[in-house]
Amino acid sequence: MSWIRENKRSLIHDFCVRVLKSGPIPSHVAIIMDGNRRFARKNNFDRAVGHLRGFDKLAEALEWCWDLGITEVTIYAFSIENFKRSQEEVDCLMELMRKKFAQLMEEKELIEKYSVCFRVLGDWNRLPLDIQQMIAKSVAMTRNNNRAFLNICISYTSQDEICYAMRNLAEGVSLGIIDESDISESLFEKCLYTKKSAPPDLLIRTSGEVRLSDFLLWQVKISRPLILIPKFINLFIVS
Amino acid sequence: MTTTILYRVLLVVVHLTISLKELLAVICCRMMKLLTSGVGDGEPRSVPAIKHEASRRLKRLPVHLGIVVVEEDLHVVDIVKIVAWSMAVGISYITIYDYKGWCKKNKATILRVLEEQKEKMETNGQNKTKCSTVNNSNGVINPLTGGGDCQRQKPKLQIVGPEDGRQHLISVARHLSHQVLNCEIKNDDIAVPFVDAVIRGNDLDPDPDLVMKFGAVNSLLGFLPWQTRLTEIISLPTHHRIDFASFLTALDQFGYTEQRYGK
Repeated sequence: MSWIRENKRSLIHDFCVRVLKSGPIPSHVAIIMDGNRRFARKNNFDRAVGHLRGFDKLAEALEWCWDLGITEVTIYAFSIENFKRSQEEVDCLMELMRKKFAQLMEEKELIEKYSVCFRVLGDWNRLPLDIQQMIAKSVAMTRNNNRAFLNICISYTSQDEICYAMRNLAEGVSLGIIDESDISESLFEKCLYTKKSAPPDLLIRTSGEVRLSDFLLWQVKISRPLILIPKFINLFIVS
Repeated sequence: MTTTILYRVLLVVVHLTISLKELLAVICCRMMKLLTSGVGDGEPRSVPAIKHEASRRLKRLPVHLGIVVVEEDLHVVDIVKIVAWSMAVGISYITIYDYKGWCKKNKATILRVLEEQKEKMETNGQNKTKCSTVNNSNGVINPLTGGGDCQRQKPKLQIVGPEDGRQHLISVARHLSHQVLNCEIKNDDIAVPFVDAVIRGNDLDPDPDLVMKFGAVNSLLGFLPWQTRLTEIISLPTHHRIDFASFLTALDQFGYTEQRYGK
Protein backbone atom coordinates (compact mmCIF):
# COMPACT_ATOMS: atom_id res chain seq x y z
CA MET A 1 0.00 0.00 0.00
CA SER A 2 1.09 3.51 -0.83
CA TRP A 3 2.34 6.07 1.72
CA ILE A 4 -0.22 8.54 0.42
CA ARG A 5 -3.67 7.30 -0.42
CA GLU A 6 -6.10 9.12 -2.65
CA ASN A 7 -9.15 7.00 -2.02
CA LYS A 8 -12.61 8.35 -2.65
CA ARG A 9 -14.22 9.26 0.64
CA SER A 10 -17.64 8.02 1.60
CA LEU A 11 -20.40 10.53 2.36
CA ILE A 12 -20.43 9.54 6.00
CA HIS A 13 -16.66 10.01 6.23
CA ASP A 14 -16.95 13.46 4.62
CA PHE A 15 -19.78 14.42 6.94
CA CYS A 16 -17.87 13.33 10.07
CA VAL A 17 -14.80 15.25 8.93
CA ARG A 18 -16.83 18.43 8.42
CA VAL A 19 -18.38 18.11 11.87
CA LEU A 20 -15.00 17.53 13.53
CA LYS A 21 -13.31 20.34 11.64
CA SER A 22 -15.87 22.81 12.98
CA GLY A 23 -14.17 22.43 16.37
CA PRO A 24 -10.52 22.56 17.52
CA ILE A 25 -8.19 20.17 15.75
CA PRO A 26 -4.72 19.25 17.05
CA SER A 27 -1.95 20.46 14.79
CA HIS A 28 0.53 17.76 15.89
CA VAL A 29 -0.41 14.20 16.78
CA ALA A 30 2.02 11.55 18.02
CA ILE A 31 1.23 7.87 17.54
CA ILE A 32 2.76 4.80 19.21
CA MET A 33 2.10 2.05 16.72
CA ASP A 34 1.62 -0.98 18.95
CA GLY A 35 -0.10 -4.32 18.64
CA ASN A 36 0.97 -5.63 15.21
CA ARG A 37 2.16 -8.96 16.57
CA ARG A 38 -0.89 -9.45 18.79
CA PHE A 39 -3.10 -8.65 15.80
CA ALA A 40 -1.21 -11.25 13.73
CA ARG A 41 -1.53 -13.87 16.51
CA LYS A 42 -5.22 -13.21 16.94
CA ASN A 43 -5.89 -13.62 13.21
CA ASN A 44 -3.44 -16.49 12.64
CA PHE A 45 -1.17 -14.42 10.43
CA ASP A 46 2.57 -14.41 10.20
CA ARG A 47 4.23 -11.60 12.19
CA ALA A 48 5.49 -10.15 8.92
CA VAL A 49 1.89 -9.83 7.74
CA GLY A 50 0.99 -8.20 11.05
CA HIS A 51 3.64 -5.53 10.53
CA LEU A 52 2.56 -5.00 6.93
CA ARG A 53 -1.05 -4.58 7.99
CA GLY A 54 0.17 -2.18 10.65
CA PHE A 55 1.79 -0.05 7.97
CA ASP A 56 -1.40 -0.14 5.88
CA LYS A 57 -3.42 1.07 8.83
CA LEU A 58 -0.86 3.82 9.43
CA ALA A 59 -1.24 5.01 5.83
CA GLU A 60 -5.00 5.07 6.37
CA ALA A 61 -4.59 7.03 9.60
CA LEU A 62 -2.36 9.54 7.83
CA GLU A 63 -5.13 9.99 5.28
CA TRP A 64 -7.60 10.76 8.08
CA CYS A 65 -5.15 13.23 9.60
CA TRP A 66 -4.76 14.93 6.23
CA ASP A 67 -8.55 15.19 5.82
CA LEU A 68 -8.90 16.70 9.29
CA GLY A 69 -6.17 19.29 8.77
CA ILE A 70 -3.67 17.74 11.17
CA THR A 71 -0.45 19.00 9.63
CA GLU A 72 2.14 17.07 11.64
CA VAL A 73 2.26 13.43 12.72
CA THR A 74 5.06 11.74 14.63
CA ILE A 75 5.06 7.96 14.70
CA TYR A 76 7.04 5.53 16.82
CA ALA A 77 7.94 2.94 14.22
CA PHE A 78 11.01 1.13 15.60
CA SER A 79 12.57 1.48 19.05
CA ILE A 80 16.23 0.85 19.90
CA GLU A 81 14.77 -1.71 22.34
CA ASN A 82 13.24 -3.57 19.40
CA PHE A 83 16.74 -4.68 18.33
CA LYS A 84 16.43 -7.16 21.23
CA ARG A 85 13.81 -9.10 19.27
CA SER A 86 14.74 -12.26 17.41
CA GLN A 87 17.12 -11.77 14.48
CA GLU A 88 14.40 -13.12 12.20
CA GLU A 89 11.94 -10.45 13.28
CA VAL A 90 14.50 -7.65 13.17
CA ASP A 91 15.48 -8.73 9.64
CA CYS A 92 11.80 -8.79 8.68
CA LEU A 93 11.30 -5.25 9.98
CA MET A 94 14.45 -4.02 8.23
CA GLU A 95 13.17 -5.56 4.99
CA LEU A 96 9.83 -3.79 5.47
CA MET A 97 11.70 -0.52 5.91
CA ARG A 98 13.66 -1.13 2.70
CA LYS A 99 10.45 -1.76 0.74
CA LYS A 100 8.63 1.22 2.17
CA PHE A 101 11.46 3.70 1.67
CA ALA A 102 11.97 2.40 -1.88
CA GLN A 103 8.25 2.91 -2.43
CA LEU A 104 8.53 6.42 -1.06
CA MET A 105 11.18 7.26 -3.65
CA GLU A 106 8.87 5.93 -6.40
CA GLU A 107 5.98 8.06 -5.17
CA LYS A 108 7.92 11.28 -5.47
CA GLU A 109 5.28 13.01 -7.61
CA LEU A 110 2.46 12.20 -5.22
CA ILE A 111 4.51 13.35 -2.26
CA GLU A 112 5.35 16.60 -4.05
CA LYS A 113 1.68 17.08 -4.91
CA TYR A 114 0.74 17.03 -1.24
CA SER A 115 4.00 18.65 -0.21
CA VAL A 116 4.72 16.17 2.56
CA CYS A 117 8.02 16.52 4.38
CA PHE A 118 9.44 13.24 5.71
CA ARG A 119 11.80 13.34 8.66
CA VAL A 120 13.38 10.31 10.28
CA LEU A 121 14.25 10.73 13.94
CA GLY A 122 16.58 8.41 15.78
CA ASP A 123 20.10 7.00 15.88
CA TRP A 124 20.55 6.03 12.23
CA ASN A 125 24.02 4.60 12.95
CA ARG A 126 22.42 1.46 14.41
CA LEU A 127 20.68 0.69 11.12
CA PRO A 128 22.13 -1.23 8.14
CA LEU A 129 24.05 1.09 5.82
CA ASP A 130 21.73 0.63 2.85
CA ILE A 131 18.72 1.67 4.96
CA GLN A 132 20.62 4.71 6.22
CA GLN A 133 21.25 5.70 2.60
CA MET A 134 17.60 5.21 1.64
CA ILE A 135 16.47 7.28 4.60
CA ALA A 136 18.94 10.03 3.74
CA LYS A 137 17.68 10.15 0.13
CA SER A 138 14.02 10.26 1.26
CA VAL A 139 14.65 13.01 3.76
CA ALA A 140 16.68 15.04 1.27
CA MET A 141 14.05 14.57 -1.42
CA THR A 142 11.25 16.00 0.72
CA ARG A 143 13.11 18.54 2.84
CA ASN A 144 11.56 21.59 1.14
CA ASN A 145 7.98 20.34 1.39
CA ASN A 146 5.93 22.23 3.93
CA ARG A 147 2.21 21.46 3.87
CA ALA A 148 2.40 18.35 6.02
CA PHE A 149 5.12 16.78 8.15
CA LEU A 150 5.60 13.12 8.93
CA ASN A 151 8.22 12.36 11.58
CA ILE A 152 9.12 8.68 11.67
CA CYS A 153 10.98 7.55 14.80
CA ILE A 154 13.28 4.71 13.81
CA SER A 155 16.05 3.33 16.03
CA TYR A 156 14.75 5.78 18.60
CA THR A 157 14.23 6.02 22.32
CA SER A 158 13.51 9.22 24.18
CA GLN A 159 16.34 8.68 26.67
CA ASP A 160 18.75 8.27 23.74
CA GLU A 161 17.36 11.49 22.25
CA ILE A 162 17.87 13.34 25.54
CA CYS A 163 21.49 12.13 25.63
CA TYR A 164 21.92 13.28 22.02
CA ALA A 165 20.75 16.76 23.04
CA MET A 166 23.12 16.75 26.03
CA ARG A 167 26.05 15.81 23.75
CA ASN A 168 25.16 18.66 21.38
CA LEU A 169 25.06 21.13 24.25
CA ALA A 170 28.35 19.85 25.72
CA GLU A 171 29.97 20.26 22.31
CA GLY A 172 28.62 23.79 22.06
CA VAL A 173 30.11 24.65 25.44
CA SER A 174 33.45 22.99 24.54
CA LEU A 175 33.67 25.01 21.33
CA GLY A 176 32.84 28.22 23.13
CA ILE A 177 29.62 28.73 21.13
CA ILE A 178 27.52 28.84 24.30
CA ASP A 179 28.16 29.07 28.04
CA GLU A 180 26.96 26.49 30.54
CA SER A 181 24.56 29.09 31.90
CA ASP A 182 22.94 29.39 28.45
CA ILE A 183 21.63 25.83 28.76
CA SER A 184 17.91 26.21 29.37
CA GLU A 185 14.75 24.24 28.58
CA SER A 186 14.18 26.17 25.36
CA LEU A 187 17.77 25.67 24.18
CA PHE A 188 17.58 22.00 25.14
CA GLU A 189 14.50 21.59 22.96
CA LYS A 190 16.42 23.04 20.02
CA CYS A 191 18.94 20.23 20.37
CA LEU A 192 16.45 17.35 20.33
CA TYR A 193 15.59 15.36 17.19
CA THR A 194 12.22 17.12 17.28
CA LYS A 195 13.73 20.61 17.20
CA LYS A 196 11.71 21.61 14.12
CA SER A 197 8.39 20.56 15.65
CA ALA A 198 6.06 22.02 18.22
CA PRO A 199 5.22 19.60 21.05
CA PRO A 200 2.46 17.10 20.20
CA ASP A 201 -1.06 18.16 21.17
CA LEU A 202 -2.27 14.59 21.34
CA LEU A 203 -0.57 11.24 21.92
CA ILE A 204 -2.28 8.09 20.71
CA ARG A 205 -1.26 4.54 21.51
CA THR A 206 -2.95 1.72 19.67
CA SER A 207 -3.63 -1.63 21.33
CA GLY A 208 -4.78 -0.36 24.72
CA GLU A 209 -1.54 -0.20 26.73
CA VAL A 210 -1.19 2.93 28.85
CA ARG A 211 2.49 3.82 28.99
CA LEU A 212 4.94 5.90 26.96
CA SER A 213 7.54 3.18 26.31
CA ASP A 214 10.41 5.68 26.04
CA PHE A 215 8.64 7.87 23.45
CA LEU A 216 8.85 11.68 23.53
CA LEU A 217 9.25 11.73 27.33
CA TRP A 218 10.41 15.37 27.27
CA GLN A 219 7.97 16.59 24.62
CA VAL A 220 4.71 15.18 26.01
CA LYS A 221 4.71 17.26 29.18
CA ILE A 222 1.43 18.86 28.22
CA SER A 223 0.22 16.44 25.54
CA ARG A 224 -2.99 14.61 26.12
CA PRO A 225 -2.42 10.88 25.95
CA LEU A 226 -5.37 9.04 24.51
CA ILE A 227 -5.70 5.33 24.56
CA LEU A 228 -7.62 3.79 21.72
CA ILE A 229 -9.76 0.78 21.51
CA PRO A 230 -7.77 -1.96 19.81
CA LYS A 231 -9.34 -1.43 16.43
CA PHE A 232 -8.06 1.88 15.17
CA ILE A 233 -11.02 3.76 13.74
CA ASN A 234 -11.75 7.35 12.87
CA LEU A 235 -13.68 8.04 16.05
CA PHE A 236 -10.43 8.62 17.97
CA ILE A 237 -10.48 12.23 16.88
CA VAL A 238 -13.84 12.85 18.57
CA SER A 239 -12.23 13.02 21.99
CA MET B 1 -22.07 29.98 7.25
CA THR B 2 -25.29 28.21 8.21
CA THR B 3 -23.79 24.81 7.50
CA THR B 4 -20.74 25.68 9.61
CA ILE B 5 -22.99 26.55 12.52
CA LEU B 6 -24.92 23.33 12.00
CA TYR B 7 -21.72 21.26 12.05
CA ARG B 8 -20.60 23.09 15.19
CA VAL B 9 -23.91 22.36 16.91
CA LEU B 10 -23.62 18.69 15.95
CA LEU B 11 -20.09 18.56 17.37
CA VAL B 12 -21.32 20.06 20.62
CA VAL B 13 -24.12 17.48 20.73
CA VAL B 14 -21.58 14.66 20.24
CA HIS B 15 -19.40 16.00 23.06
CA LEU B 16 -22.39 16.46 25.36
CA THR B 17 -23.48 12.90 24.65
CA ILE B 18 -20.04 11.55 25.50
CA SER B 19 -19.86 13.70 28.66
CA LEU B 20 -23.33 12.56 29.72
CA LYS B 21 -22.37 8.92 29.20
CA GLU B 22 -19.25 9.42 31.34
CA LEU B 23 -21.28 11.20 34.02
CA LEU B 24 -23.83 8.39 34.10
CA ALA B 25 -21.02 5.86 34.43
CA VAL B 26 -19.58 7.79 37.40
CA ILE B 27 -23.03 8.06 39.04
CA CYS B 28 -23.72 4.33 38.56
CA CYS B 29 -20.31 3.49 39.97
CA ARG B 30 -20.91 5.65 43.05
CA MET B 31 -24.37 4.20 43.58
CA MET B 32 -22.97 0.68 43.36
CA LYS B 33 -20.36 1.60 45.95
CA LEU B 34 -23.01 3.05 48.26
CA LEU B 35 -25.13 -0.08 47.94
CA THR B 36 -22.29 -2.55 48.41
CA SER B 37 -20.01 -0.72 50.86
CA GLY B 38 -20.18 -1.53 54.52
CA VAL B 39 -20.61 0.86 57.43
CA GLY B 40 -17.60 3.07 58.02
CA ASP B 41 -16.10 2.38 54.62
CA GLY B 42 -14.63 5.88 54.63
CA GLU B 43 -12.97 5.33 58.00
CA PRO B 44 -9.31 4.32 58.15
CA ARG B 45 -9.06 0.61 57.71
CA SER B 46 -6.75 -1.42 59.85
CA VAL B 47 -3.42 -2.50 58.50
CA PRO B 48 -4.18 -6.23 58.85
CA ALA B 49 -7.54 -5.80 57.07
CA ILE B 50 -5.84 -3.96 54.20
CA LYS B 51 -3.20 -6.62 53.90
CA HIS B 52 -5.71 -9.41 53.96
CA GLU B 53 -7.81 -7.85 51.22
CA ALA B 54 -4.77 -7.03 49.09
CA SER B 55 -3.35 -10.53 49.29
CA ARG B 56 -6.75 -12.01 48.48
CA ARG B 57 -7.34 -9.86 45.44
CA LEU B 58 -4.10 -8.62 43.91
CA LYS B 59 -2.08 -10.59 41.39
CA ARG B 60 1.03 -8.49 41.87
CA LEU B 61 2.13 -5.18 43.34
CA PRO B 62 4.19 -2.37 41.87
CA VAL B 63 7.59 -1.95 43.48
CA HIS B 64 7.41 1.84 43.08
CA LEU B 65 4.13 3.75 42.96
CA GLY B 66 3.91 7.33 41.74
CA ILE B 67 0.96 9.33 43.08
CA VAL B 68 0.50 12.15 40.58
CA VAL B 69 -2.14 14.76 41.37
CA VAL B 70 -3.08 16.92 38.39
CA GLU B 71 -6.00 18.62 40.13
CA GLU B 72 -6.03 22.26 41.18
CA ASP B 73 -7.38 21.58 44.65
CA LEU B 74 -5.19 19.32 46.81
CA HIS B 75 -6.60 17.52 49.85
CA VAL B 76 -3.75 16.46 52.11
CA VAL B 77 -5.85 13.97 54.09
CA ASP B 78 -6.86 12.11 50.91
CA ILE B 79 -3.33 12.09 49.50
CA VAL B 80 -2.07 10.75 52.83
CA LYS B 81 -4.75 8.02 52.84
CA ILE B 82 -3.41 6.77 49.50
CA VAL B 83 0.14 6.78 50.84
CA ALA B 84 -0.88 4.93 54.00
CA TRP B 85 -2.79 2.30 52.03
CA SER B 86 0.18 1.87 49.69
CA MET B 87 2.49 1.29 52.65
CA ALA B 88 0.03 -1.09 54.24
CA VAL B 89 -0.33 -3.30 51.14
CA GLY B 90 3.44 -3.54 50.92
CA ILE B 91 4.52 -1.16 48.16
CA SER B 92 8.18 -0.46 48.82
CA TYR B 93 8.64 2.97 47.18
CA ILE B 94 6.08 5.74 46.96
CA THR B 95 6.52 9.12 45.28
CA ILE B 96 4.06 11.99 45.50
CA TYR B 97 3.95 14.71 42.82
CA ASP B 98 1.77 17.67 41.95
CA TYR B 99 2.55 20.01 39.09
CA LYS B 100 2.63 23.14 41.26
CA GLY B 101 5.12 21.64 43.73
CA TRP B 102 2.79 22.31 46.65
CA CYS B 103 3.31 18.88 48.19
CA LYS B 104 7.09 19.26 48.17
CA LYS B 105 6.87 22.70 49.79
CA ASN B 106 4.53 21.34 52.48
CA LYS B 107 6.35 18.08 53.12
CA ALA B 108 6.30 18.55 56.88
CA THR B 109 2.50 18.86 56.88
CA ILE B 110 2.12 15.76 54.76
CA LEU B 111 4.44 13.72 56.99
CA ARG B 112 2.62 14.88 60.12
CA VAL B 113 -0.80 13.96 58.72
CA LEU B 114 0.64 10.64 57.52
CA GLU B 115 1.80 9.78 61.06
CA GLU B 116 -1.71 10.55 62.37
CA GLN B 117 -3.27 8.37 59.68
CA LYS B 118 -0.91 5.49 60.41
CA GLU B 119 -1.68 5.73 64.14
CA LYS B 120 -5.42 5.50 63.40
CA MET B 121 -4.83 2.46 61.22
CA GLU B 122 -2.60 0.79 63.82
CA THR B 123 -5.20 1.50 66.50
CA ASN B 124 -7.91 -0.13 64.38
CA GLY B 125 -5.82 -3.24 63.79
CA GLN B 126 -6.04 -4.99 67.11
CA ASN B 127 -5.98 -8.54 65.74
CA LYS B 128 -2.83 -9.93 64.17
CA THR B 129 -3.22 -11.88 60.95
CA LYS B 130 -1.16 -14.65 59.47
CA CYS B 131 1.60 -13.59 57.08
CA SER B 132 0.47 -13.49 53.45
CA THR B 133 2.35 -12.58 50.32
CA VAL B 134 1.77 -10.76 47.06
CA ASN B 135 4.34 -10.77 44.28
CA ASN B 136 5.77 -7.37 43.43
CA SER B 137 6.40 -6.67 39.78
CA ASN B 138 10.02 -7.91 39.93
CA GLY B 139 8.75 -11.33 40.93
CA VAL B 140 10.23 -10.97 44.40
CA ILE B 141 7.98 -12.11 47.19
CA ASN B 142 6.97 -9.10 49.26
CA PRO B 143 5.73 -10.24 52.65
CA LEU B 144 2.68 -8.49 54.03
CA THR B 145 3.08 -8.89 57.71
CA GLY B 146 0.69 -8.47 60.50
CA GLY B 147 3.63 -8.28 62.79
CA GLY B 148 5.30 -11.18 64.46
CA ASP B 149 7.10 -13.76 62.38
CA CYS B 150 7.58 -12.22 58.90
CA GLN B 151 9.93 -9.33 58.16
CA ARG B 152 8.60 -6.02 56.82
CA GLN B 153 10.43 -4.10 54.11
CA LYS B 154 10.24 -0.49 55.28
CA PRO B 155 8.56 1.61 52.59
CA LYS B 156 10.32 4.72 51.33
CA LEU B 157 8.38 7.88 50.65
CA GLN B 158 9.61 10.79 48.60
CA ILE B 159 7.89 13.96 47.49
CA VAL B 160 8.98 15.58 44.25
CA GLY B 161 8.07 18.70 42.29
CA PRO B 162 8.55 20.12 38.79
CA GLU B 163 12.18 21.03 39.63
CA ASP B 164 12.93 17.29 39.86
CA GLY B 165 11.79 16.72 36.28
CA ARG B 166 12.90 18.81 33.33
CA GLN B 167 14.82 21.32 35.46
CA HIS B 168 16.89 18.51 36.94
CA LEU B 169 17.71 17.27 33.43
CA ILE B 170 18.88 20.80 32.56
CA SER B 171 21.12 20.83 35.65
CA VAL B 172 22.56 17.49 34.57
CA ALA B 173 23.16 18.83 31.04
CA ARG B 174 25.06 21.81 32.49
CA HIS B 175 27.08 19.56 34.79
CA LEU B 176 28.04 17.21 31.94
CA SER B 177 28.98 20.15 29.71
CA HIS B 178 31.25 21.40 32.47
CA GLN B 179 32.88 17.98 32.76
CA VAL B 180 33.46 17.74 29.00
CA LEU B 181 34.91 21.28 28.94
CA ASN B 182 37.35 20.33 31.71
CA CYS B 183 38.22 17.03 29.99
CA GLU B 184 36.89 15.03 32.96
CA ILE B 185 34.78 13.01 30.53
CA LYS B 186 34.58 12.67 26.75
CA ASN B 187 31.53 13.82 24.83
CA ASP B 188 30.92 10.25 23.67
CA ASP B 189 30.61 9.17 27.32
CA ILE B 190 27.25 10.95 27.42
CA ALA B 191 25.14 7.89 26.72
CA VAL B 192 22.08 6.46 28.43
CA PRO B 193 23.72 4.29 31.14
CA PHE B 194 26.14 7.08 32.13
CA VAL B 195 23.49 9.81 32.15
CA ASP B 196 21.15 7.52 34.09
CA ALA B 197 23.77 7.13 36.81
CA VAL B 198 24.33 10.90 36.96
CA ILE B 199 20.60 11.64 37.16
CA ARG B 200 20.09 9.19 39.99
CA GLY B 201 23.19 10.18 41.95
CA ASN B 202 23.16 8.13 45.16
CA ASP B 203 19.53 7.21 44.72
CA LEU B 204 19.26 3.51 43.91
CA ASP B 205 15.46 3.49 43.92
CA PRO B 206 13.83 1.75 40.97
CA ASP B 207 11.81 3.78 38.47
CA PRO B 208 8.09 4.00 39.11
CA ASP B 209 6.44 0.98 37.50
CA LEU B 210 2.98 2.40 38.19
CA VAL B 211 1.59 5.92 38.30
CA MET B 212 -1.88 6.56 39.68
CA LYS B 213 -2.88 9.85 38.13
CA PHE B 214 -5.65 11.75 39.91
CA GLY B 215 -7.60 14.32 37.95
CA ALA B 216 -9.25 14.92 34.61
CA VAL B 217 -6.16 16.31 32.85
CA ASN B 218 -4.79 13.60 30.58
CA SER B 219 -1.13 14.32 31.21
CA LEU B 220 1.52 13.70 33.87
CA LEU B 221 2.40 17.42 33.72
CA GLY B 222 6.14 17.01 34.03
CA PHE B 223 6.41 14.14 36.51
CA LEU B 224 9.96 12.68 36.34
CA PRO B 225 10.15 12.38 32.51
CA TRP B 226 13.42 10.40 32.50
CA GLN B 227 12.24 7.86 35.07
CA THR B 228 8.78 7.19 33.59
CA ARG B 229 9.83 5.65 30.29
CA LEU B 230 8.17 2.30 31.09
CA THR B 231 5.68 3.38 33.73
CA GLU B 232 2.12 2.09 33.53
CA ILE B 233 -0.36 4.94 33.93
CA ILE B 234 -3.74 4.39 35.56
CA SER B 235 -6.07 7.37 35.74
CA LEU B 236 -8.58 7.99 38.49
CA PRO B 237 -11.06 10.87 38.32
CA THR B 238 -10.08 12.50 41.60
CA HIS B 239 -8.24 11.99 44.88
CA HIS B 240 -11.00 13.83 46.78
CA ARG B 241 -12.77 11.41 49.15
CA ILE B 242 -10.99 8.49 47.47
CA ASP B 243 -12.07 5.17 48.90
CA PHE B 244 -10.01 2.04 49.45
CA ALA B 245 -12.03 0.04 46.91
CA SER B 246 -11.06 2.43 44.08
CA PHE B 247 -7.42 2.30 45.14
CA LEU B 248 -7.49 -1.49 45.21
CA THR B 249 -9.21 -1.64 41.81
CA ALA B 250 -6.40 0.45 40.30
CA LEU B 251 -3.78 -1.88 41.80
CA ASP B 252 -5.77 -4.86 40.53
CA GLN B 253 -5.72 -3.34 37.04
CA PHE B 254 -1.95 -3.00 37.24
CA GLY B 255 -1.70 -6.72 37.94
CA TYR B 256 -2.96 -7.52 34.45
CA THR B 257 -0.51 -5.32 32.55
CA GLU B 258 2.35 -6.93 30.69
CA GLN B 259 5.72 -5.34 29.98
CA ARG B 260 7.52 -6.54 26.87
CA TYR B 261 10.53 -4.14 27.13
CA GLY B 262 10.64 -3.83 23.35
CA LYS B 263 10.96 -7.58 22.78
